[in-house]
Amino acid sequence: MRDWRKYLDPRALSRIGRLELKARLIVEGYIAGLHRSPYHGFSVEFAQHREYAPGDDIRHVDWKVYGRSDRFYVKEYEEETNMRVYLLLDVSESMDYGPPGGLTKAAYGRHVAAALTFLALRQQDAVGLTLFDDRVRTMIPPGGTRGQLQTVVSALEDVAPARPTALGDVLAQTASDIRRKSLVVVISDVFDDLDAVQTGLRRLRHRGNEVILMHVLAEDELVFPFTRMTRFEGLEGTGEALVEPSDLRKAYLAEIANFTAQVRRRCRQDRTDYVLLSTAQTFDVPLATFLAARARSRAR
Amino acid sequence: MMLALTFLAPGSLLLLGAAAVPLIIHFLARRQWRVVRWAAMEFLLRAMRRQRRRLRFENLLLLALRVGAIVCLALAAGRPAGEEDLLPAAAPQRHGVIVALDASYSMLYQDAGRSVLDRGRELAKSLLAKLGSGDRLIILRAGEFADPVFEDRVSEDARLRAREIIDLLAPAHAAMDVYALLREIARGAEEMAGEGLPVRAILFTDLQAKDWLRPGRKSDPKIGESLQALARAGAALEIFDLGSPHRVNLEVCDLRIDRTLAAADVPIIVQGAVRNYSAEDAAGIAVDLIVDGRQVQGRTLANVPAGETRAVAFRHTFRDAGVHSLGLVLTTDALATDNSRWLAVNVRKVVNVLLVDGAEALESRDRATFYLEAALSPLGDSLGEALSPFRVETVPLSRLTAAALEGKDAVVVADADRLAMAGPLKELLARGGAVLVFLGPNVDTEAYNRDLLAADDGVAALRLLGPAGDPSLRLGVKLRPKALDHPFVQFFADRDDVRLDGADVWRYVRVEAGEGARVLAVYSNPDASPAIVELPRPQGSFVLVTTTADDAWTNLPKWPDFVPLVHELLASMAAPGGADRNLLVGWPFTRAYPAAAYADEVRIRAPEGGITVTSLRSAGEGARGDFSLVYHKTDEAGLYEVTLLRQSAIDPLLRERYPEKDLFAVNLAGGEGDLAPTGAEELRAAYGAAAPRVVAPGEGRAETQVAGSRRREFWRPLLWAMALLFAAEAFCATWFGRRQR
Repeated sequence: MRDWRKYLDPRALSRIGRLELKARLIVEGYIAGLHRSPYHGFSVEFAQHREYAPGDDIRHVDWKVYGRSDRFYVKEYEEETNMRVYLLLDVSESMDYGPPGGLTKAAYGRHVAAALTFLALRQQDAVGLTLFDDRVRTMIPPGGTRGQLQTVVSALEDVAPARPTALGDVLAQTASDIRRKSLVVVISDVFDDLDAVQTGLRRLRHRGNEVILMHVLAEDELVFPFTRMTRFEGLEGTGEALVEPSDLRKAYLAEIANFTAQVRRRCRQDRTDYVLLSTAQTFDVPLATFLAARARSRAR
Repeated sequence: MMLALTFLAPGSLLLLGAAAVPLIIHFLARRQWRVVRWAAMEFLLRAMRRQRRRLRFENLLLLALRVGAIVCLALAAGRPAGEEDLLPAAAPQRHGVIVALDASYSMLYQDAGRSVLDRGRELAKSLLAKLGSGDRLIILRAGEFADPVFEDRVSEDARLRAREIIDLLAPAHAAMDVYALLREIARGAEEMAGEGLPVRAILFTDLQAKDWLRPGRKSDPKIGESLQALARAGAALEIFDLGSPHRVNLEVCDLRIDRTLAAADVPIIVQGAVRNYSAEDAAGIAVDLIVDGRQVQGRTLANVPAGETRAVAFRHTFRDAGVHSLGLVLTTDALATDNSRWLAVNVRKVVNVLLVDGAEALESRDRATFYLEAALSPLGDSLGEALSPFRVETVPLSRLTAAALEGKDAVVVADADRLAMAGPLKELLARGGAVLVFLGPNVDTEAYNRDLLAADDGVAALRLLGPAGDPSLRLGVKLRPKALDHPFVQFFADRDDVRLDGADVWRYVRVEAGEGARVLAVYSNPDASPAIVELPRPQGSFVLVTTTADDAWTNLPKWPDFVPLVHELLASMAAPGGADRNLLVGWPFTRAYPAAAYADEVRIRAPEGGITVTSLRSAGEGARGDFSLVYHKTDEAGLYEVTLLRQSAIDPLLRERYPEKDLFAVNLAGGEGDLAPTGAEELRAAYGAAAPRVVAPGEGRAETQVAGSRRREFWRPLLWAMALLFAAEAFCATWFGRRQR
């Protein structure tokens, strides 16, 4: 039997070329995990019965009906269709960092965005995508059609990170563009002015949106594994430095920890969901975060 | 205060260049980096800004520790020595310094125009200049003894005196006695240590292996114990090896003549030997025979292989009686002292011997003296040279009168029934003559004992007991040498062509040798009966042979060995004290002179020309009227002239035996010419931790070290510092690394 869950691991996905397929595999892997988890049945509601046909999952057979009618009926679930999901993916130059042979932050973000699109569409949600750096580069309005996934994935695959970030401005602009309450998922390394970012997030929240900040950092940025003398050349024109990494590791890690702590604290202040994602992390975390936020949004 | 440091191994300072290695590694590492395009640059730069000062400090500290450790290592390898006064703790400290200068004659080896001893003198004097006022100084002359020639506290005046003493320090014609030297150093060190002074003992020497090691280059236990005692006394010995790296030397190691008694017109063979102590063969070595100061013959030794000895022989005939000198002289090499060897030879005129036939036979063949005549009167050759120094006349016992003894030097009595000791024989002995007695069938033991007792001048030390052995059985006993140091016995011991124990003796007279009698040979019977006995005499000599001079009791006269036996016996008796004329350095010259004939004053001229005036010292109680000259200052090799002043008429025989112009020769003991060196490693292997520290020979090294004689070497603290710096570096690197992880 195929083990879908392996596709939650970015390394396993690296051998697969098409982003659309990757998104499907991530979500299938996640759903397969859910069936064994306490979150089983988390996102769908019962709608009607229909007669069993070969290929149906026998776990959906309604045994009570069978007991009464002596015929096999399977339960069909009502899938909600009233959520609008905005995915905001940072494609600035800083997101183009990743270790040799590994995923860049931008690539990781693409995977997450594609998977969330697939999952949301599967949940009958309308999904839109905004790709941005220091301005909005691509804007795909939310849609729930079958072709939306293809549209989103195409946009994700076409973009190349090259410019600096202006996350705060983009968030502010997005807040003004969204007309009705939505679930906004921001995927970024947040290498920007935190005050501006907080302002943008706050605007999104004030308009009644549920906001998730998926803070993507490369694994190297979180552990600083370098050992040899290294010349670091800053992306987005942030300068350069010749460094003996072991001399600076501790201080650097303190800086990065302080940074993530600040982002987390500011998100908490505005009741924005915050999740720190490492590019080495499996994709179930962003999906679970998304579903939890979606459920919370529907509960309101 | 002089601040300069001296490096004893300056070549090792090249290692200082290695101090640049950490710097080079540091800069090379900064030139080899990889490039990472980095997003979180803001945080990295912020971390850098925060850490810059600390990092710079840590890097500089680590760099300094690494460079410092390498510098310490390089400096330690250079063996720095600095003024002790530079050390605050040591500044007020007074010191005890013992300076020993090897004065053995091998130090006279000439190298680059000056002797090793001169170099040692200069170094010793430069050491003096480094001593501080109040230091205690002992200077030892290390020769056959270790003589303290200076012992005082250092002051300007003392320094001048010490310099003068060092300049005048005479070389000894002897080897250095290391054991005596170490004992003397230990004594001085104990005294100094008792005064609370730290002691430094320094020896300037050519470090000959033979001085420090036993043959086979083994350790000498006595030296080992002395070194340990020295270490216990707190005075480790430092040796400055000044020996020449060349060390080429030949030595005249032997000179002798082939007979005990030399006589005018009787040829002798002068035998010498030359030893090559070098590591290479020596070719074309010219050897000259010097007689009475003139070169009379020469030879050239084609080759003397390394480490071997080659004999050289000359035939020479003295034409005049008297004391003559013989010398064997080599072509001069770098060590001239052992290039010659000398002999003083008392050449007699013809030795007139009266043979007394106790058998009183008419036919010569029946005489008891028949074989003696033949042995002492061999036919001469055609060159006017006699084969024997003896002129023989034979008389029957009845004609042994004072008239018969007129002009005779020796009497040989064979098989006489009695001895008229109180008569002419006693007179002959009193004149310094020789009496040789063979016993035989006619001997009346009682009469002999009476005659010997009547002589009452030592002859009573012998008593005849009666004949022993059975001639009819022809079961003989052999002669066995007894007094191995007697010239007569030595003659046989040194030769292969004649032997003392060849013939059989089947009858002899048992004798009892009292105190003072000297048994030269015994029989091989179980009780080792005396065979040849020398009786003590103040003047003259008396020897008794307890068997016959003919073939009645022994076949000895028929053996060829009989001729040298009689010759050597008579020669040793007619020329007593011949060996005493030829001494080794340090041996006293002792000779008895008839007191009545000579004035008390004696002049002795040493080889280098120094004249000593001494007096004949009374020997014993003077009962026999003779005086002994005892002269101890024979510390110089060569010929010594003794001049006595005759004050009365003297018997010609006495005059011949005790000439007014006498000579004696003093020679080197030999072996000192072996310049083969030992070294630090060999001494360490032989004597372990107690071994002296050796400053190996090398151009300028000894000078450099001595110049810092009051200095202390710092290599050990430097090694400690290096270890500490490396440990600190490792700790800091770990600590800094841990903080950064």
